[in-house]
Amino acid sequence: MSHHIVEVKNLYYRYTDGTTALNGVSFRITHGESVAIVGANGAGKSTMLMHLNGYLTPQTGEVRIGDMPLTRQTISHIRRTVGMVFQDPDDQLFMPTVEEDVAFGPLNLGLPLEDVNTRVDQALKQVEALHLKKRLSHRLSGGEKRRVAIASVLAMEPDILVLDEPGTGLDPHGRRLLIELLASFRHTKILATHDLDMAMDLCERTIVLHNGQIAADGPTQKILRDDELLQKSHLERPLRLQGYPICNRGNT
Amino acid sequence: MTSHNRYAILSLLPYTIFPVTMLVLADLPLRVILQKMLLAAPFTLFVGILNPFFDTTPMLQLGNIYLTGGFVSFISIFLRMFLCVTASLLLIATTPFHEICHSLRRLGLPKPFVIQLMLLHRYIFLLAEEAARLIQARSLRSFNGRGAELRYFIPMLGQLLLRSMDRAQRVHAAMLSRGFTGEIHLLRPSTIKNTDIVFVAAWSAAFYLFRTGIPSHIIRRIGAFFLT
Repeated sequence: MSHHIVEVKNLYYRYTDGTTALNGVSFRITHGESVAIVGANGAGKSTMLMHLNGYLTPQTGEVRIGDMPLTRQTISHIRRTVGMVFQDPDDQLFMPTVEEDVAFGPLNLGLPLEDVNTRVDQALKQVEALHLKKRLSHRLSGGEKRRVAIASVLAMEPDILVLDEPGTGLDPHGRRLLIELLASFRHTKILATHDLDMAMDLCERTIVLHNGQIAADGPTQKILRDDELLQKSHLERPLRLQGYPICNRGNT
Repeated sequence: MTSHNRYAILSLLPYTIFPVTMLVLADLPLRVILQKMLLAAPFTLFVGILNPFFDTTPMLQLGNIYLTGGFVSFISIFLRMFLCVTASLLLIATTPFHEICHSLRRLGLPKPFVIQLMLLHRYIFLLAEEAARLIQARSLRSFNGRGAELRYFIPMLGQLLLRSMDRAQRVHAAMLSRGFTGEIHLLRPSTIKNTDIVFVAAWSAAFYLFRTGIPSHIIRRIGAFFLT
């Protein structure tokens, strides 16, 4: 199934104030892969993600989703294929009730009402939030908001899921539930995060961004043990790979 | 209510049955409603306060006290305020805001306005939180009232505007990524039930009756009976 492929070729992006956010990025993610994009603050992760569903269009270079290049003509199709979960769920839940918010996407696709209703129920069930259906969006807890935000994207039935820092603002238990939830999805997943332990749990492949360029691209297990690379990219080993931190500190 | 003449008091009185019944039926805390009503009171006070000075023709005699026309119209204004404000407070207290929005849409209010209202209600809480955080951050670093002057207030307001604009952009991005093309489709609002029709019909009939002046005429008769 070729339409689950994400391909980025030689992408450059410069903001109007002159900062170069992306400086020649290329990668190819194939069907069913789960990839973590990691990097320091300002490394270009968010700018990268913004390109994947066409909120930003490439200044130079190319983004291809499946067989289609990202252009003005293909944008609505691409937005249907690539589901984007934003960093702050408050930005994503803009309708008054949970039900209306999850229905927003399917209604925009022009589906008949019964189909919209079944999709809403299905999506909410998938994130175990069916009981929140009639609740008001702004009265939910952080974890509930996150799950509803994911449901609102699932309701569009995308092939590819893009998540920007899905773990922010969650307590440890909520974070663990989220990891289990995401692991249960069969979509192609692209996940930008600082939580390297989460990356280890969910992604077999990791791309390290540094100053708008790809510093490394390979198996997560290998990359997250490469101390030299991690230090250069302003990262550090996930806690799980640090062994006994107190003993280790004596060695360095 | 606006169709009553400016000195109307007695003919306005029967209308108070509506807020009182609703208050009892919905089991609302009277205190809260009265407190919120006090917020609106000063405005009415300013509108009507000069009436007793300008209009000094004697209008009403209660025993041996004469009330001037100004006083009567002042009381009338206050009664109108009471009726309007309680009616709107009761609506807000008994109906979730998004349902009011849906109903407004059904009554024919243009969609852009309805959506504005919905988004306003959704994000006003976040705006308030954002503002509260800014104020807290300032007060944690200002001592003896220093740093609380007006000249620091202005950049803070600017900061709040910038943050809201950033958020607006992110919300827009989230809308676009879910297929937004300039049209927000609303889910069907709740359907009308038989009891709703009875409710509207009964109150409309009651208001029509009040407007004809028959109930106030009866009150006047009873009042006259006791006063003489």
